[in-house]
Amino acid sequence: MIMYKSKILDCERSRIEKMIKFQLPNKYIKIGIGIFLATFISFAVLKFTGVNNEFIKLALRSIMLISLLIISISKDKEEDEMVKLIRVQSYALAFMIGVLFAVIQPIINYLVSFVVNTDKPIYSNLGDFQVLIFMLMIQLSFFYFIKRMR
Amino acid sequence: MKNRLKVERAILDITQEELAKKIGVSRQTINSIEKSRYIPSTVLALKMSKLFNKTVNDIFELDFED
Repeated sequence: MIMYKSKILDCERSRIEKMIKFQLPNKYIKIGIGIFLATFISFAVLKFTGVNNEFIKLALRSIMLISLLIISISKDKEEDEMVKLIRVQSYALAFMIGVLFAVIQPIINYLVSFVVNTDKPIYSNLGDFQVLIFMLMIQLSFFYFIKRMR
Repeated sequence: MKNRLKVERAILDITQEELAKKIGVSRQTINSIEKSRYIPSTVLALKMSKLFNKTVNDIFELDFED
């Protein structure tokens, strides 16, 4: 019984380790950038043409998030232990700044609307897209910034 | 952590690029280690130790800050 339990634990451990270590090959960075640029241009086209289709916007937002995620989890050209450490540091920073952003930004928005529109200030929470894209952008910026600093 | 990596590299007369290739890391990592901006893992330290034919303690030394 004990043997059986330890085997299950080992199996779980190796599965989690596989998940933690999962990374896409380096070529996916270019694919991610390509998809990101395509969605960015599509957003610009939607804005200029005045098309207001919520389904298209939602789809583009999701594709944009996935493209940034692809860039984020793709291996560097030379993915050695220092790059792995920088990656971990950038994720930690992005998480902390992301939480602060999600807490502080609605308050700033409220204060600004209080100043601009004193009779009826608007309080609104950030959407999941804004928080996630902010976190991914921060992670990628810090990753390349710290890497260059080293 | 202080290190004698640059000296050991000079003794073997190899560039950062060559050392990086030999131990399977990037040249930037070697540069960061030499400038004490990055502390290598035990595995990497042992690889260097093997390459330079010196003990890890001969290459790396604890600083008063550590």
